[in-house]
Order: sequence, then structure tokens, then C-alpha cells
Amino acid sequence: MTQHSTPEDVKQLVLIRMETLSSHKKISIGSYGEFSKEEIIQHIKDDDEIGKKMIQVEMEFLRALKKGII
Amino acid sequence: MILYLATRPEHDDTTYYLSHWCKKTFLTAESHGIKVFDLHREKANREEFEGRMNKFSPNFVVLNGHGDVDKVGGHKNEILVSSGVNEDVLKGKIVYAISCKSANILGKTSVEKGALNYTGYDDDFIFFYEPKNMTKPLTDETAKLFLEHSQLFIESLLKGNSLKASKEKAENKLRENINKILSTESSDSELARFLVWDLNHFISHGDLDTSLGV
Repeated sequence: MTQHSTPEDVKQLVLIRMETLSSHKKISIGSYGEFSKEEIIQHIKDDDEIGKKMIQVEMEFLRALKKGII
Repeated sequence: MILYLATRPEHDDTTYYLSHWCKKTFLTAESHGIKVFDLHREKANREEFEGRMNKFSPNFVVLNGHGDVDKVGGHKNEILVSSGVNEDVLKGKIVYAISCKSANILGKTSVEKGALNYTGYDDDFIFFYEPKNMTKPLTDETAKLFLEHSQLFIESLLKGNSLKASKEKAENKLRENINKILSTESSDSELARFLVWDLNHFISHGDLDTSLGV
């Protein structure tokens, strides 16, 4: 991701990342509940609250990489 | 005598996992002569919670359950403690909430009302797990990446370490797990971003030098 990346670029990146996850795992997102990989991908595509949370997670991760925290 | 109270609702996958990972800390408590009050399943209700808090005044309170910025729930999401309503029940206690977002507002107001410390998450706590392990969540290696730090934090406090030292141990465990999965070539490396998220949102309000004085 470059400094010129658009929100759509980040969304596409998150979708690619999620696609590589194992289908045998589920994700628990607090009070939103538990989701399969396929359900999460649909939420990202729908741009809803849960999808936006996944994009927020990716943005924080990219910032941590940029700062050299990890 | 040091008293440790834990709420362990179990009404969905999330609370089931949190409950089992927390239960493991009871052995550490007992081996250090700490008495445990276990509000498990239906007992994780407000009446029982307030009753035990007022009658026994436990030194250490661990809240497992769903939450929001200003509240933490018990079994079937019955609200146990909420900001502006009954957070004074936490006065004089060390509190750890494995619950989404509650460190945001409830953490602050609890400390303002006299809690010694409130540690938790100021945004959603996220973890991955393998449904095939539902009957034995402690053997779930994926969940372990996300829940191990939490168990370590509790056990460190039960052993008498300070809040600051215990939090550092927990944060280091999260960092260790992040580095471990980033160095693998499996798809698990994608989980690192969620561990970074949990690390970023694991926060404490109040006195970091406090301890259970075991």
C-alpha cells in the first residue's frame, strides 16, 4: 500500500487477505458475533459495519508495519 | 485472604471459549491460597454478581462476556455492571474485563468511582478459533494465539505481580505470538493483523503499581 492508496485499494487488499484464511476457522468479533470466512468476505463486500471493522484492523496493521512496531 | 471473583457466561461460541480459558486460572488461584467465586453460566446474573460483590468484597474481579463502551454483560447478555448505574460496586478492586470496548468508558468511570485498576479492551476484542475444537477449547491452537496473553495476565496478578508487570507479560506474549505467526509460511500469518489489533486496544486505567499483595 502506498500513500496514494484509496479506500477501495485497502478493501481489495483486505478481501485478498481474507481469501487466504483457512475455511476451518471462525472469527469472533465481540458483540457482533461469530463469522465464517465466507460471511466475513460478504460483509466486506457489502461495506457494512463489520466489513468496515475489518478494514480498520488492516489500517492499524499497516500503520504498525510502517512504524516498525512489528 | 485474597478473594477472586470471575463471571463466566456460556451462551455462544465466544463466551464458551472465554469461560474455559478463564477457568484454567482457578488452579493457579487455589495453589496460591486464593479463594475463587465462580459465577458460571446462569449464576453470571446481576443479582448474584452484586450480591457476592457486596457480601464478600473480592479483591480481584474478572469479567468474561460481551460488552460495550459503558457496560459488561453476563449470561445471555444480562448487564452486570454499567457506567453511571452500578460501577461503584468495583470500588477498591482490581478489575479485568475480557469484553469488547468496556475499557473505553466503563473503565474510566470505574476508576473515578474508586476501582484500583480496570484493564480491558477499548474496542472490539477479536479472536479466531477452530469450531472442530468446540468440545475442548483449551486444545485449540488458533484460539491459544489470542487467549493465552489473557490467561497469563490473570495468573501473573494471582501470583502477586504488579499490574504493570502483569500487563507487560501479557503484551509480550501477544508480540511473541505475532512474531511467531509472521515467521511461518502458512495462512495463519494473516492472523497477525488481528493480534496487533488486540494488542493496540488492551489498555489499563488506574494504578499500575497495584497488586493483589499475595
